[in-house]
Amino acid sequence: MQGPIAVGARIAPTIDLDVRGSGAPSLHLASSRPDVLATDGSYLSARSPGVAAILVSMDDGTVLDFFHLWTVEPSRISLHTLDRDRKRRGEIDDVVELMVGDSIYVTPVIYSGNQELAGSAETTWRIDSPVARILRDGARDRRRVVASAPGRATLQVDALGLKSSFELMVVSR
Amino acid sequence: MKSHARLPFTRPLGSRDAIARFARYALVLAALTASGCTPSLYAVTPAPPTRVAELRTEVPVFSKNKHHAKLSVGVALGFNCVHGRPCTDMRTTIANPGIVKILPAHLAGLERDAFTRDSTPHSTLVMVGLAPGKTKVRLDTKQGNTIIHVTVLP
Repeated sequence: MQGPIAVGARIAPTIDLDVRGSGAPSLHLASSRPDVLATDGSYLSARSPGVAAILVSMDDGTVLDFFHLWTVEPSRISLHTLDRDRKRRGEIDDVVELMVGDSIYVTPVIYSGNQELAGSAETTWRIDSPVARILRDGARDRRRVVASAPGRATLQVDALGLKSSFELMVVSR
Repeated sequence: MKSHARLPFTRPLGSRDAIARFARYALVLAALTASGCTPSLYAVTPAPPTRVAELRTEVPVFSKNKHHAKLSVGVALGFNCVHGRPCTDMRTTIANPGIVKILPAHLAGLERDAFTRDSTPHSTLVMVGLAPGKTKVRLDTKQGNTIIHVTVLP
Protein backbone atom coordinates (compact mmCIF):
# COMPACT_ATOMS: atom_id res chain seq x y z
CA MET A 1 0.00 0.00 0.00
CA GLN A 2 1.56 3.25 -1.19
CA GLY A 3 -0.54 5.71 0.79
CA PRO A 4 -2.74 6.08 3.83
CA ILE A 5 -6.37 4.99 3.71
CA ALA A 6 -8.93 7.73 3.17
CA VAL A 7 -11.23 8.28 6.12
CA GLY A 8 -14.64 6.96 5.05
CA ALA A 9 -13.15 4.50 2.56
CA ARG A 10 -12.37 0.82 2.90
CA ILE A 11 -9.84 -1.62 1.52
CA ALA A 12 -9.69 -5.39 1.22
CA PRO A 13 -6.12 -6.25 2.29
CA THR A 14 -4.33 -9.19 0.77
CA ILE A 15 -2.36 -11.15 3.34
CA ASP A 16 0.54 -13.16 1.92
CA LEU A 17 1.77 -15.04 4.96
CA ASP A 18 5.14 -16.75 4.86
CA VAL A 19 5.49 -18.92 7.95
CA ARG A 20 8.77 -20.81 7.75
CA GLY A 21 8.14 -24.53 7.43
CA SER A 22 4.37 -24.20 7.54
CA GLY A 23 1.34 -23.34 5.47
CA ALA A 24 -0.99 -20.55 6.51
CA PRO A 25 -3.33 -21.41 9.40
CA SER A 26 -6.80 -19.92 9.89
CA LEU A 27 -6.31 -16.16 10.23
CA HIS A 28 -8.20 -13.23 11.70
CA LEU A 29 -7.56 -9.52 11.50
CA ALA A 30 -7.95 -7.28 14.54
CA SER A 31 -7.36 -3.56 14.90
CA SER A 32 -5.58 -1.94 17.84
CA ARG A 33 -7.81 1.14 17.35
CA PRO A 34 -11.25 0.34 15.92
CA ASP A 35 -12.13 4.03 16.26
CA VAL A 36 -9.40 4.75 13.67
CA LEU A 37 -9.44 1.64 11.50
CA ALA A 38 -12.08 -1.04 11.97
CA THR A 39 -12.03 -4.61 10.71
CA ASP A 40 -15.25 -5.38 8.92
CA GLY A 41 -15.26 -8.93 7.57
CA SER A 42 -12.52 -9.02 4.97
CA TYR A 43 -12.38 -5.21 4.81
CA LEU A 44 -10.58 -2.52 6.77
CA SER A 45 -12.71 0.61 7.15
CA ALA A 46 -11.07 3.94 7.96
CA ARG A 47 -13.11 5.77 10.59
CA SER A 48 -10.93 8.70 11.72
CA PRO A 49 -7.41 10.06 11.12
CA GLY A 50 -4.60 8.27 12.96
CA VAL A 51 -2.46 5.15 13.10
CA ALA A 52 -3.62 1.67 13.97
CA ALA A 53 -1.88 -1.68 14.18
CA ILE A 54 -3.59 -4.51 12.34
CA LEU A 55 -2.87 -7.79 14.08
CA VAL A 56 -2.92 -11.01 12.06
CA SER A 57 -3.89 -13.69 14.56
CA MET A 58 -4.68 -17.38 14.69
CA ASP A 59 -7.84 -18.88 16.17
CA ASP A 60 -6.26 -19.14 19.64
CA GLY A 61 -5.24 -15.47 19.63
CA THR A 62 -1.56 -16.01 18.82
CA VAL A 63 -0.29 -13.08 16.76
CA LEU A 64 1.56 -14.18 13.62
CA ASP A 65 2.32 -10.71 12.33
CA PHE A 66 1.20 -7.12 12.51
CA PHE A 67 1.52 -3.96 10.47
CA HIS A 68 0.72 -0.31 11.06
CA LEU A 69 -1.58 1.66 8.78
CA TRP A 70 -2.33 5.37 8.53
CA THR A 71 -5.68 6.95 7.89
CA VAL A 72 -6.11 10.56 6.75
CA GLU A 73 -8.93 12.86 5.73
CA PRO A 74 -9.22 13.16 1.96
CA SER A 75 -9.05 16.62 0.42
CA ARG A 76 -10.13 15.99 -3.18
CA ILE A 77 -11.16 13.37 -5.68
CA SER A 78 -10.43 13.17 -9.37
CA LEU A 79 -11.94 11.00 -12.08
CA HIS A 80 -9.81 8.53 -13.99
CA THR A 81 -10.59 6.40 -17.03
CA LEU A 82 -9.93 2.65 -17.06
CA ASP A 83 -9.11 0.28 -19.87
CA ARG A 84 -11.00 -2.94 -20.58
CA ASP A 85 -8.94 -4.77 -17.96
CA ARG A 86 -10.00 -2.07 -15.46
CA LYS A 87 -6.46 -0.74 -15.25
CA ARG A 88 -6.19 2.99 -14.78
CA ARG A 89 -5.23 4.98 -17.85
CA GLY A 90 -5.09 8.46 -16.40
CA GLU A 91 -6.96 11.43 -15.02
CA ILE A 92 -9.70 13.06 -17.04
CA ASP A 93 -8.66 16.67 -17.58
CA ASP A 94 -10.53 17.53 -20.80
CA VAL A 95 -13.83 16.91 -22.56
CA VAL A 96 -14.56 13.24 -23.22
CA GLU A 97 -16.02 12.59 -26.66
CA LEU A 98 -17.86 9.38 -27.43
CA MET A 99 -19.82 8.12 -30.40
CA VAL A 100 -23.27 6.73 -29.74
CA GLY A 101 -22.89 3.16 -28.49
CA ASP A 102 -19.31 3.67 -27.23
CA SER A 103 -18.52 3.41 -23.56
CA ILE A 104 -15.76 4.23 -21.09
CA TYR A 105 -15.01 3.00 -17.58
CA VAL A 106 -14.57 5.71 -14.95
CA THR A 107 -13.49 5.61 -11.31
CA PRO A 108 -12.80 8.29 -8.71
CA VAL A 109 -9.33 8.45 -7.15
CA ILE A 110 -9.00 9.93 -3.68
CA TYR A 111 -6.22 12.34 -2.65
CA SER A 112 -4.92 14.18 0.37
CA GLY A 113 -3.03 17.09 -1.12
CA ASN A 114 -0.81 15.57 -3.79
CA GLN A 115 -0.77 12.09 -2.27
CA GLU A 116 -3.08 9.44 -3.59
CA LEU A 117 -4.96 7.61 -0.86
CA ALA A 118 -5.91 3.97 -0.66
CA GLY A 119 -9.45 2.71 -0.39
CA SER A 120 -12.73 2.76 -2.23
CA ALA A 121 -15.80 4.71 -1.18
CA GLU A 122 -19.51 4.78 -1.86
CA THR A 123 -20.16 7.02 -4.84
CA THR A 124 -23.15 8.89 -6.22
CA TRP A 125 -23.20 9.57 -9.96
CA ARG A 126 -25.28 12.20 -11.76
CA ILE A 127 -25.61 13.32 -15.35
CA ASP A 128 -27.51 16.48 -16.24
CA SER A 129 -28.64 15.37 -19.68
CA PRO A 130 -29.73 11.93 -20.92
CA VAL A 131 -26.97 11.54 -23.48
CA ALA A 132 -25.40 8.56 -21.67
CA ARG A 133 -26.32 5.81 -19.28
CA ILE A 134 -24.29 5.15 -16.14
CA LEU A 135 -24.04 1.43 -15.38
CA ARG A 136 -22.64 -0.35 -12.35
CA ASP A 137 -19.62 -2.50 -13.03
CA GLY A 138 -19.30 -4.78 -10.03
CA ALA A 139 -17.25 -2.38 -7.90
CA ARG A 140 -18.96 0.23 -5.77
CA ASP A 141 -16.79 3.10 -6.95
CA ARG A 142 -16.51 2.21 -10.64
CA ARG A 143 -19.00 2.90 -13.47
CA ARG A 144 -19.36 2.21 -17.17
CA VAL A 145 -20.61 5.24 -19.07
CA VAL A 146 -22.43 4.24 -22.28
CA ALA A 147 -23.17 6.97 -24.82
CA SER A 148 -26.82 6.71 -25.87
CA ALA A 149 -27.80 9.92 -27.73
CA PRO A 150 -26.00 12.86 -29.32
CA GLY A 151 -25.56 15.89 -27.09
CA ARG A 152 -23.49 17.39 -24.32
CA ALA A 153 -23.66 16.75 -20.56
CA THR A 154 -21.80 17.15 -17.31
CA LEU A 155 -21.16 13.94 -15.40
CA GLN A 156 -20.58 14.46 -11.68
CA VAL A 157 -19.54 12.04 -8.94
CA ASP A 158 -19.84 12.55 -5.18
CA ALA A 159 -17.65 10.52 -2.80
CA LEU A 160 -16.68 11.13 0.83
CA GLY A 161 -18.35 14.53 0.66
CA LEU A 162 -16.15 15.58 -2.26
CA LYS A 163 -17.15 16.21 -5.87
CA SER A 164 -15.56 15.89 -9.27
CA SER A 165 -16.98 16.15 -12.77
CA PHE A 166 -16.15 16.14 -16.48
CA GLU A 167 -17.78 17.26 -19.68
CA LEU A 168 -19.12 14.52 -21.94
CA MET A 169 -19.91 15.07 -25.62
CA VAL A 170 -21.72 12.37 -27.57
CA VAL A 171 -21.73 12.50 -31.34
CA SER A 172 -23.75 10.41 -33.75
CA ARG A 173 -22.09 7.73 -35.86
CA MET B 1 50.67 8.25 43.43
CA LYS B 2 49.79 4.64 44.36
CA SER B 3 48.10 2.43 41.86
CA HIS B 4 44.67 1.08 42.88
CA ALA B 5 44.44 -1.36 40.02
CA ARG B 6 45.45 -4.34 42.14
CA LEU B 7 43.46 -7.54 42.40
CA PRO B 8 41.83 -8.11 45.81
CA PHE B 9 43.82 -11.22 46.63
CA THR B 10 47.26 -9.72 46.10
CA ARG B 11 47.42 -8.31 49.60
CA PRO B 12 47.99 -10.41 52.71
CA LEU B 13 44.75 -11.85 54.16
CA GLY B 14 43.80 -10.45 57.51
CA SER B 15 44.46 -6.83 56.78
CA ARG B 16 41.43 -4.54 57.20
CA ASP B 17 41.90 -3.38 53.64
CA ALA B 18 41.55 -6.89 52.26
CA ILE B 19 38.43 -7.57 54.31
CA ALA B 20 36.84 -4.38 53.00
CA ARG B 21 37.69 -5.42 49.45
CA PHE B 22 36.15 -8.85 50.05
CA ALA B 23 32.99 -7.20 51.30
CA ARG B 24 32.78 -4.96 48.25
CA TYR B 25 33.22 -7.85 45.82
CA ALA B 26 30.70 -9.95 47.70
CA LEU B 27 28.18 -7.14 47.36
CA VAL B 28 28.83 -6.82 43.65
CA LEU B 29 28.47 -10.58 43.24
CA ALA B 30 25.19 -10.54 45.18
CA ALA B 31 23.89 -7.68 43.06
CA LEU B 32 24.81 -9.44 39.83
CA THR B 33 23.15 -12.63 41.07
CA ALA B 34 19.99 -10.75 42.01
CA SER B 35 19.73 -8.99 38.65
CA GLY B 36 20.42 -12.21 36.80
CA CYS B 37 17.32 -13.89 38.27
CA THR B 38 14.91 -12.04 36.00
CA PRO B 39 14.13 -12.85 32.40
CA SER B 40 15.58 -10.52 29.81
CA LEU B 41 13.23 -8.77 27.41
CA TYR B 42 14.20 -7.18 24.12
CA ALA B 43 12.21 -5.56 21.34
CA VAL B 44 12.12 -7.28 17.96
CA THR B 45 9.95 -4.87 15.97
CA PRO B 46 10.49 -1.19 15.13
CA ALA B 47 8.15 1.69 15.80
CA PRO B 48 6.26 3.08 12.81
CA PRO B 49 7.43 6.54 11.68
CA THR B 50 6.50 9.42 14.01
CA ARG B 51 5.32 6.99 16.70
CA VAL B 52 7.03 5.47 19.73
CA ALA B 53 7.57 1.79 20.52
CA GLU B 54 10.54 1.05 22.75
CA LEU B 55 11.54 -1.36 25.45
CA ARG B 56 14.56 -0.74 27.62
CA THR B 57 16.07 -2.48 30.59
CA GLU B 58 17.32 -0.75 33.70
CA VAL B 59 19.99 -2.73 35.54
CA PRO B 60 20.13 -1.55 39.16
CA VAL B 61 23.12 -2.72 41.20
CA PHE B 62 21.28 -4.15 44.17
CA SER B 63 17.88 -5.19 42.81
CA LYS B 64 16.26 -7.02 39.94
CA ASN B 65 16.29 -5.66 36.41
CA LYS B 66 13.49 -3.25 35.61
CA HIS B 67 11.88 -3.09 32.21
CA HIS B 68 10.34 0.08 30.85
CA ALA B 69 8.11 0.08 27.78
CA LYS B 70 6.95 3.23 26.08
CA LEU B 71 4.59 3.18 23.12
CA SER B 72 2.05 5.33 21.35
CA VAL B 73 -1.66 4.62 21.38
CA GLY B 74 -2.56 2.14 18.66
CA VAL B 75 1.03 1.00 18.16
CA ALA B 76 2.14 -2.61 18.59
CA LEU B 77 5.54 -3.75 19.83
CA GLY B 78 6.87 -7.29 19.56
CA PHE B 79 9.40 -8.45 22.13
CA ASN B 80 11.21 -11.65 23.07
CA CYS B 81 11.72 -13.13 26.52
CA VAL B 82 14.90 -15.04 27.27
CA HIS B 83 16.54 -16.37 30.37
CA GLY B 84 19.56 -18.18 29.00
CA ARG B 85 17.05 -19.80 26.66
CA PRO B 86 13.58 -18.68 25.52
CA CYS B 87 11.12 -18.28 28.39
CA THR B 88 8.37 -20.86 28.80
CA ASP B 89 4.92 -20.85 30.39
CA MET B 90 4.58 -17.09 30.01
CA ARG B 91 1.64 -15.43 31.75
CA THR B 92 0.96 -11.73 32.10
CA THR B 93 -1.04 -9.80 34.67
CA ILE B 94 -1.85 -6.20 33.77
CA ALA B 95 -2.71 -3.73 36.52
CA ASN B 96 -4.86 -1.61 34.19
CA PRO B 97 -5.96 -3.63 31.13
CA GLY B 98 -7.54 -0.54 29.62
CA ILE B 99 -4.10 0.95 28.91
CA VAL B 100 -2.22 -1.91 27.32
CA LYS B 101 -2.91 -5.34 25.92
CA ILE B 102 -0.40 -8.18 25.67
CA LEU B 103 -0.85 -11.12 23.32
CA PRO B 104 1.19 -14.25 22.64
CA ALA B 105 2.95 -14.21 19.29
CA HIS B 106 4.74 -16.58 16.99
CA LEU B 107 7.89 -15.54 15.20
CA ALA B 108 9.10 -18.11 12.73
CA GLY B 109 12.61 -18.26 14.16
CA LEU B 110 14.86 -20.06 16.59
CA GLU B 111 16.86 -18.80 19.55
CA ARG B 112 20.24 -20.38 20.37
CA ASP B 113 20.73 -21.38 24.00
CA ALA B 114 23.62 -19.44 25.50
CA PHE B 115 25.14 -22.49 27.18
CA THR B 116 24.01 -25.70 25.49
CA ARG B 117 23.74 -24.18 21.97
CA ASP B 118 20.34 -25.89 21.59
CA SER B 119 17.95 -24.10 19.26
CA THR B 120 14.50 -23.32 20.63
CA PRO B 121 11.64 -21.29 19.12
CA HIS B 122 11.50 -17.64 20.19
CA SER B 123 9.21 -16.75 23.08
CA THR B 124 7.50 -13.67 21.76
CA LEU B 125 4.78 -11.38 23.02
CA VAL B 126 3.08 -8.42 21.37
CA MET B 127 2.22 -5.34 23.41
CA VAL B 128 -0.48 -2.99 22.07
CA GLY B 129 -1.10 0.54 23.39
CA LEU B 130 -4.81 1.02 23.97
CA ALA B 131 -5.16 4.32 25.84
CA PRO B 132 -2.80 6.97 27.24
CA GLY B 133 -1.58 6.31 30.77
CA LYS B 134 0.79 4.28 32.90
CA THR B 135 0.45 0.77 34.20
CA LYS B 136 2.50 -2.21 35.34
CA VAL B 137 2.63 -5.62 33.74
CA ARG B 138 3.82 -8.62 35.68
CA LEU B 139 5.34 -11.29 33.45
CA ASP B 140 5.56 -14.74 35.02
CA THR B 141 7.55 -17.47 33.34
CA LYS B 142 8.82 -20.85 34.38
CA GLN B 143 12.29 -19.27 34.59
CA GLY B 144 11.32 -16.31 36.77
CA ASN B 145 9.23 -13.19 36.79
CA THR B 146 9.69 -9.54 36.02
CA ILE B 147 7.76 -6.28 36.01
CA ILE B 148 7.33 -4.10 32.94
CA HIS B 149 6.53 -0.44 33.65
CA VAL B 150 4.42 0.62 30.68
CA THR B 151 3.76 4.17 29.51
CA VAL B 152 1.31 4.68 26.68
CA LEU B 153 1.60 8.07 24.98
CA PRO B 154 -1.31 9.90 23.31
